[in-house]
Amino acid sequence: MKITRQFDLVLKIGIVILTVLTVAMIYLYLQVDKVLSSTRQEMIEMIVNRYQMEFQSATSLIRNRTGAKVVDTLQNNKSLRRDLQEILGYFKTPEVENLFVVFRDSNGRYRYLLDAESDPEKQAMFMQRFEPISNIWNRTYETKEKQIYKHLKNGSLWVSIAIPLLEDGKVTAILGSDLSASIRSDVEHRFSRIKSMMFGVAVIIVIMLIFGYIQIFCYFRGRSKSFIDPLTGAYNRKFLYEVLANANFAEYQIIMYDVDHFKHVNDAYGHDVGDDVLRMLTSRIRKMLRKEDHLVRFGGEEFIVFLKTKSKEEAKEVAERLKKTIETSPFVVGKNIMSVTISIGINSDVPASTNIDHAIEIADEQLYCAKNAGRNRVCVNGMVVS
Amino acid sequence: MKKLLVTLFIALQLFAMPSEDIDIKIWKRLIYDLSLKEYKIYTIDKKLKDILCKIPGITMVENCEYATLIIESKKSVVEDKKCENIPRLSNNYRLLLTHSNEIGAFFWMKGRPTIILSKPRLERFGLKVDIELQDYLEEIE
Repeated sequence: MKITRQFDLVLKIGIVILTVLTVAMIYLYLQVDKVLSSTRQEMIEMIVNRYQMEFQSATSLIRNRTGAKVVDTLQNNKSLRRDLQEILGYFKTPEVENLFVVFRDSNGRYRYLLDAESDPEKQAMFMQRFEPISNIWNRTYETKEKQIYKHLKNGSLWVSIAIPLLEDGKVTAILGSDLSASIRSDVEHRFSRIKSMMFGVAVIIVIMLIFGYIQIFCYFRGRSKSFIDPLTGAYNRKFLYEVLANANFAEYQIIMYDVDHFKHVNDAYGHDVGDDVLRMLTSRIRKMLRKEDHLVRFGGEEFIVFLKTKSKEEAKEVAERLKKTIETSPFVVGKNIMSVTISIGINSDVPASTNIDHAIEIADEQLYCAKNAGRNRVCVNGMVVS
Repeated sequence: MKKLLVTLFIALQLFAMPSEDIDIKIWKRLIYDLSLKEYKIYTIDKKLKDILCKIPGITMVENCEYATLIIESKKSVVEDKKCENIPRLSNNYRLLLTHSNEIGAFFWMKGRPTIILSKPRLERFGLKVDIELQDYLEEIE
């Protein structure tokens, strides 16, 4: 039926829109995630670069104070060591876990020269062995350039930075620092919050889309129900004027029928039986129609069949068949067996009608013609044809 | 190079497991790589005792006189004079420097596990260490 087709179409459009919007949301979310990831990486690099620059100036300061021979000078000057450790302490922030100076001795072992740690319990002693857990220290000696090492995630250390202290083009010592893993977790925490917010927004939008879809579905389901006559299951006047009136009704032949002496049925058997008769009648008529035809309850016991054909002959044949079927098949309601007949009027020239009311009016006139001719008749163009 | 590989091996393991597990592994390696006749350990440090108990093949003794090795921390130094001739390990570098019976130490310095063994003291106790620990030997008298 047309209304069903309309409903299906809207539903399909709704599903397509919903799918497109959902895919768009996922795509957007992934894009944002990508941007956030690269921004996070850039932010981390910026932090590392910032500290690198700061530590670079610390190495210059150490060189200025120690002169050419860093190790020898520090070995012989305890107060200078203390001063430099104090100065290095100024470079230490909560983000800098460790800041120290080490050198590689003649046996290839690394030893502390300075340590910015203020807690004596944690402070490395002068010439105490330093355990390199990465090879950046050797690489710094080899390349004479600063090196960075990213620790595995589980530890308290995040990034180690090694900056060489050069003397005549040779590395004499290395300023080492460990940035705290708290920087990484802080950055990740901030970004994960943004991501969570994004995810939340995406979920809300998807939920809203789903609700929108449900609303459309409910609206159309309710709308299609509002077109149905609750007693007979045929379409009602609302359908006639909201759907059929907007369709090209000229494509239909209009057959109007009315139950003969229906008042007698109600009076003799009661209104419940009358209702049952209407229900059964409608059911029988519908069985004789095609999907593309429409059956409308126009009022009381008056019905209109919109037969989708341009053939007047076909309309007459269908009307005759309807009349005969109803006439020859008694209605059994409870213990009551009733013979029911219908009078039928056909508008055989629907295209000539100016509007649907006019077309129905002509069919109604033909129906009166059939009634006046003695009922249980089919009338077309003022002539009884059956 | 070899030392670096050993250190890297330890380092890689340490970040992949909880810190107590790392401590157990390192203490186990350190103790077993000493040429002790028996592995009878004495400690009064509760935290150390909890760790050492988890090392298989080690007997924890209640009296330091029966121990072949004493492990102590800064807060729980064994003062018993009867046990003066028993080699000791500690988890504190300063303790290693100041106590002449300390043959070595394992401790964490700047988030890095550090092992130091005193070569002269090991010789004094007639102990040798496995080849893989040779790189950790220091001339601490």
